[in-house]
Amino acid sequence: MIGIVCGVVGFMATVAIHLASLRFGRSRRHFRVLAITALTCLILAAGGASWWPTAEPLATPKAVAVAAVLFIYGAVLFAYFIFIYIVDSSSATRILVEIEQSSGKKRTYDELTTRYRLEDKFRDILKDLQYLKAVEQQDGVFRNTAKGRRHARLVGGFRRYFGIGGHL
Amino acid sequence: MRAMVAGVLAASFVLGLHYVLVRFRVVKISYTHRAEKYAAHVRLLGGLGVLGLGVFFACHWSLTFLPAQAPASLWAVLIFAPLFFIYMTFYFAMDRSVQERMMIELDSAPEQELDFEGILRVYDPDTKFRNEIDGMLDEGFLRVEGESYVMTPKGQLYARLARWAKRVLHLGEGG
Repeated sequence: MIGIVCGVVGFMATVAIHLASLRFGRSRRHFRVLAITALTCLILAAGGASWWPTAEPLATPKAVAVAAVLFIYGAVLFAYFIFIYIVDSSSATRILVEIEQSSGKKRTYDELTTRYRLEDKFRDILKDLQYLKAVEQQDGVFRNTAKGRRHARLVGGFRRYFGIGGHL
Repeated sequence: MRAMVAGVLAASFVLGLHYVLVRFRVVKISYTHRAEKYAAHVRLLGGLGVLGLGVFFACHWSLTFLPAQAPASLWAVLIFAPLFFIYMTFYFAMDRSVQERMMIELDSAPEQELDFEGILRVYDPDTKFRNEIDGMLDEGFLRVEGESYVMTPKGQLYARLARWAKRVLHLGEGG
């Protein structure tokens, strides 16, 4: 049980430090900060769990162990789906694959933009957003639905508060 | 420990079955656009996930020779990792999702509406393309050689993995 508690506490510490670094920090290397924070908290959580003096009396009850493993199981399936999504939809992945497929394993900027047009991706994304009922189109004009507007304001507020987004 | 091993077996069963079904087109995922494709994968994974629960409980009840308790530090790592992964996914969606950016641009437009040309004006594809490349140069996936971009070993490894996954899962060109 103490292992689960340490894992959750370590995670919450990571989130708190990361959000504070976004809000008050000056580093633009957000991912590096997040990775270092997470690794430190993970080591502290695992170390704390193994050195906790009362670990034995706090042995994980069977039901809690099953519930925790089912959560991890769900997360693994989620991670697998995210892997499929990133491999398929990420622009960076597509650019790397375009270079990898070229005969000399190199491509100029113009070659890349000829083979991979972001305008087409934007059109696909607008179709996705219509499918998800977040955006509607009328006479060639796109506007958010109520759902899309709520979402845009929530994410926009989050981006502004933490000073992220907008660069891609 | 028993629950952990059962969980690993159930997850392996689901991922393996998904791979086989999609790879050999036992289940054919047809779609007209991207969101439909992802929805189909989610439905398939969800269905297999329920099947996997059966595998999980069957393994849990039959692996009685394994000790019930697992080391506390292992629990800490196994709980931390998925929570962190979920947070990272949420953070990256907030930070760099094109969908989110489009909805924000539509919301910020004077009449809260834009035609496609208007979207391209406020969200310039050329700037995005250059920022993507700059990001990969910065993260060590690419390097510049004359006027061309060349992959570093890290970029090559990722590109090969991505190309393999695209091929076996019939994902198409994507991007």
